[in-house]
Amino acid sequence: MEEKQEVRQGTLALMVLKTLDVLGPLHGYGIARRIEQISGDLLAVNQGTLYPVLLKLEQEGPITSDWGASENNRKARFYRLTRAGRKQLQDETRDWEQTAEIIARFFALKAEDLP
Amino acid sequence: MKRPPMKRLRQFFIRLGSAFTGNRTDDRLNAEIEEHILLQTQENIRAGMPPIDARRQALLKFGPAEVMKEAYRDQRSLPFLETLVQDVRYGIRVLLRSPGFTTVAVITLALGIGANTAVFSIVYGVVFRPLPYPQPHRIVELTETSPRATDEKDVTYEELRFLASHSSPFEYLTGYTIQGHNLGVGNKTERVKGQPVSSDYFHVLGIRPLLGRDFLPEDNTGDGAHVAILSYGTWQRYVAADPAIIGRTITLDGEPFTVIGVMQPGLEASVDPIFPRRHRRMDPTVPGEPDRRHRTKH
Repeated sequence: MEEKQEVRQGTLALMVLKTLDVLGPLHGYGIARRIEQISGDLLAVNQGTLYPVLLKLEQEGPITSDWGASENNRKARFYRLTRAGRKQLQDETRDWEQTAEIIARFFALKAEDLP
Repeated sequence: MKRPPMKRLRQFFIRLGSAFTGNRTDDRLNAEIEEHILLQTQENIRAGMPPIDARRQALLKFGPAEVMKEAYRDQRSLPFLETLVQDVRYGIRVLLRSPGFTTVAVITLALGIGANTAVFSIVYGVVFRPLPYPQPHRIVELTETSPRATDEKDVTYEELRFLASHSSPFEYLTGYTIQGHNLGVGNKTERVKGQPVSSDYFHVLGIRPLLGRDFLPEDNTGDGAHVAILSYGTWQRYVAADPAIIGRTITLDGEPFTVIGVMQPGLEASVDPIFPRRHRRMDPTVPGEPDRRHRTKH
């Protein structure tokens, strides 16, 4: 079996924000499921570890939660992005893209490119 | 992830609040976990697993729930505060359950604190309280020790003169001693402890008389009248704080002394009067005329 990558907590939080941004309000299971699907099972997430992250995000303000009914009509906690969360997502997306771009340029570097 | 100060503050208050309303959020988490595992189980069944395996796989995928709950609780509130509140509650309950022990403990503490306060008050007064002079850290007292004696010995007048005439680390050197005298003021006579000093004694301590003048160098050597400075306490007791005492005559062992001043209150009130020692009367060839304990200032 291929070795799966560990997820840094900050990365997981960013994935949560993006998932909620794209899909709208979701319960914990839905978020876990999406992250798993999108990452193509590359990330080994103990799904439970998502909940402390959700709580932290809720305390910090980017997301908020309410009780609602799940697909099987049971009580479930639904999380959604707040306006502050949207803003934070934009900022962090930009940061990530910058970082990724810089790293990509370094990887693309060949000896003959240097003056 | 970046955490600006406002966010941190907001989080702190939420966590502070949660420290006192912990159980409700516990219920919420349990409901969420239950729901999560249920949904995963159903998903697994849809994918074709037998129901027993489906639940087991769902639990495995969720990971160790107790570990997560621990992390969740730490994140939810301020763990140290929560523990502290619990400990205090527990402590109070235990104390209430055993009033006898509590009483003994309280009495023990009360006595301990009381005794400490008392001892400290005394030790502070005797050991730590600075001398009642300006710049007390610059005043030291010189005494001598000898291998044969366990006590400290006073410096003699000859030694003091020797120290004063040679270079020393001190700015000034002055001497004092304490001797018993019969003090006569008016028609009252009393046995007191007097303090013969060098004329620059008060100068070295850095204080001035409350009334009258300080000693002059001549007062140590001169042929004029003997002079003395009274302590504040004696001035109050003998002549009811009469300022006219300056210039009046008192007797010490029958000899007349002119009062030239009154010292400030609170300064070595146990000895007085204070008067210059007449060094010229001292015969250096007679040993054992002690000029004791010399204070020095540097």
